[in-house]
Parts: sequence; C-alpha cells; structure tokens
Amino acid sequence: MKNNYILQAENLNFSYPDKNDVLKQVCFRISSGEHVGLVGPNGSGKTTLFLLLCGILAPKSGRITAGGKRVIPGHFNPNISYLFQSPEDQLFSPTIFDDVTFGPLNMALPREEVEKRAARALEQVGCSPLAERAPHHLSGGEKRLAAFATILSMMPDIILLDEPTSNLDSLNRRNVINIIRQMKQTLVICSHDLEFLLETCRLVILIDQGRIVREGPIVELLSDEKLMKSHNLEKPHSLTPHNRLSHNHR
Amino acid sequence: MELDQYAMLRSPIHSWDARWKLLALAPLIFVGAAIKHPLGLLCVAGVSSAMVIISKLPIRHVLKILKGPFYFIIIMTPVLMLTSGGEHLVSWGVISVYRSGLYIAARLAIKALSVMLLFICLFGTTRLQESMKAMEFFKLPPILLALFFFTYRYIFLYFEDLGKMLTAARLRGYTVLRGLKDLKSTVNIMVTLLIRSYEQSERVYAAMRLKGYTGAFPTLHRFKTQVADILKTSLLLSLSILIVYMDML
Repeated sequence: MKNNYILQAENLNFSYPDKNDVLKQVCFRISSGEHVGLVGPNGSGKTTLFLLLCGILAPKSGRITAGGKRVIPGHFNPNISYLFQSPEDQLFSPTIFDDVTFGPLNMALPREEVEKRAARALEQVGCSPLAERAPHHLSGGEKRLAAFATILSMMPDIILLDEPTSNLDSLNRRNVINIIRQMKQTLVICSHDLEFLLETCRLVILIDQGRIVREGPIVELLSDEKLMKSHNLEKPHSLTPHNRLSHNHR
Repeated sequence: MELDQYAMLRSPIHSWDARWKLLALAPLIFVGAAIKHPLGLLCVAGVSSAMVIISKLPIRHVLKILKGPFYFIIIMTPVLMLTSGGEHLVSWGVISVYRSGLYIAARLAIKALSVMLLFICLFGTTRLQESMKAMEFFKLPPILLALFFFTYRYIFLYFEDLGKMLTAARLRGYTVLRGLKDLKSTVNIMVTLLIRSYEQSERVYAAMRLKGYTGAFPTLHRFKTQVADILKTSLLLSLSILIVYMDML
C-alpha cells in the first residue's frame, strides 16, 4: 500500500571515527507538506541527522527514503535540500545570482527556466536587489536570506533547515518566519529558537544523545516542563502563563 | 576589493569574447614577463596602458590592485641599485648606486606593472564565471580552476577571520613583538585558521555536491564570436610574435 510519507528514516545508526553512537536506532516518518521541528540539546545529533538525511554522510546501518526513493549517499538528489547553519558555506560563487542559478544549472534545466526560478527565489526572500552583489559584502541577515534563495531555486520537495534564525535580528527573523509559513514544501527545521519553531511547525521531534526521545504536536511537547528540563531545554515563555514577577530581575 | 567589480562596464575590452581575450592576452602576459629587449618591453607597457585606458576601468580601482606589486617594486629598487655591482653612477663613501642596478630595477618595475595591467584587463573586464568558462574551454585542469575560484571567493573571509583572531589575541595581551619572540602563540593562531578553513572547505564541498556539482562551474553565459573579437585577437597575437622576434634578433 502506498503511504503519504515523504521522508522516512528506519533504524538509523551512525558513528564518527572519533565518536561512537552519535545516532542510535533513529526512526521517524514525515508526511508530505508537514513542517516539523527538531529540538535537542547541543551535541544531541541534530546536524548529523540532517547530513544523513540529505545524503552527505552515509549511515552505519538503517535506511532513509525521500519521496519514495532510497537516499543514496553521495548522489545528487535535487528533491532534498539542506540549508547549512552558516550561510558562508552555502554562498560560494562570486555573486548571489551565480549562487542561486548554480543548482538549477546543474539540474540541466533550460536557460529560461533557470532564469525564471532564480528570479522567483530571489523575489520570495526579498533579495532581488542583491542579485549582483558579492556574498562577502552582505550583512549576516542578507546572507542568510540569499542562502535560502539558493535552495528555493531548486524547488525541492523536502528542505532541511539548520538553525535558520541564528544571528538574525528581529526583523530578519520575522522575514524568515513569514517565508517559512508560506512554504508548501516538507520542512524539517532544527533550531534552539523554540518560539520560532512554535510559529512555524505543527509537529516536533525531540532528540537527545542520538536517540529520538519523543515526537508529537509541538505545543503539547514543548509545554511538558519536566520533559524539557530533563533534556537541558527550557519551556518557551509563550507557553508559560504571563506573570509580571517573572520579569522582575531583583 | 573584487577584481571583476567593473566587469559590467561597456568598452571594446569588455565586449571582447572571454575566450578570444584569453587567447590574446595570456601570450602577451608571458611575453611581457620574459622579454629582455627594452623596445619590446616599452611596447608591452604601452599596449597594457592603452588597454586599461580603453577599458574605462576607474583609475582608483586599477591603483588599488597595483598596490601589491608597487610595494614589491619599492622594496626591490634600492636593493638592486645598491647591490648589483658594475659601473658606479654615484658614490657616498662605501655606499654606491650602480648603473646596472638602476637599469634592472627599471626593467623589473615596467615588467611587473605591465603584466599586472594586462592581468587587470583580462580578469577585470569579464565576470569571473565567464573567465572560468573560458579557461575551461581551453581545457585548463579543473582542479586548478577550482583552486583559483575558491581562493578568490574565500580569501576575504580568511583575512577577516585572521583579523578577528588577532583582535581577540590582542585583547589578551598579544603583540606582534611578543608574537615574534614567543612563536608558539603566533603558530597557534595560524594553525587554528588553517583547521577552520579546512573544515569550512569540507562544508562548502558538501553544499556544492547537494547542488549537483561534478567539477564544472555552470553559467548562463553563452559565448558568441564576432568579427571584432577575431580582429582584436589577431592584432595582439601579431604584436606578441613581433616582440618575441625583436627579442631574438
């Protein structure tokens, strides 16, 4: 029977040469068009999981399926994209336009289609005026949005976002939230900004020490103060009834 | 500062097809670097200066790029003038300025500046992606192209990183003098920069692979040969051959 899961991980295990059991028996299924948050303390294996999901790293054992096809490490799969934590890693071309067209050109799309996609992606993130600028001349927020455009131009079905709001000011953070909320693709978003996840995701996966601890509706899971504390996380303020005394720092 | 910052200007040098431009200027750069005949050297200097003028590149931009070779010339000129030996031009006690030294210094300065001007005309009037495509057309090894490309893209970032690390070190009492005396701290900074750049190169490579990189640098630009390209290239190639012939006489 055909299911509606666009991204599936089955019994994933992974170790680095100098660190064993970074991921242990990781299993999850994500439905098409779902926006899922991935939370966990530092070093819990979130970024490693992303690197496995997009095929940069190969699991020690287990299986990843994206869009019904098995993810083969090292193979180019334009249906799954990954937004790196640092935009500097994603912007490697002399201009933003070159970066935004890099993926579509490698997908062997016709010239007109490449131009159309690049224009649309830049427009979507509000970076059209930056197209001819060099990446190192942009501010942190502009770099982040431009990096976003480089993956949007490939029009992937699944997008993995690693800390998309880190180092952003409140205005740029709001821009990213608005962009994500309009996106129809399947998103997995890893972030320590839990308020941001509350605004952009319906579901969340909690990972700690390489294992999936819990998954479920985001408000329900992040409201569980005991669970959050036991994994070095803090219940978001917006889920705590407001109390003026909590802002009294005396 | 970007080399191709003014690649969008309009001039006969800018409109020159990147492949033909490379075919014409690369030999002239080699000729300019290897030539011995003074007349030939002046010829290369004249052509390179004329090309920069025709290209309408802002003089401030050109001077900025020439700053590096200019410092090199400034350092080398007195060394050559005072140490080359031969016939004295002037003498103050034990210090003598030699005629041959002056001649070598002048030749070195003209050569360095001419070659740099040609280099600016070649890469400063074409977008880097197009220059890469042109070099790819002439079957330059992809590894060399990738090295050129990434050096150009990330050199600014590493200088910025180095600046930040030096500031952090200075805030904890590091000085250049102390760094020279206690080499360990200087080496630590350099090693950290090296490791960071290595780690970043791995992440950049991963990002490129995710976007389908297989060794080639795709671009939307399409090369189109025009009669003017062939004429310009023929003219400069003939000049290069003439200068070499003159040098061999």
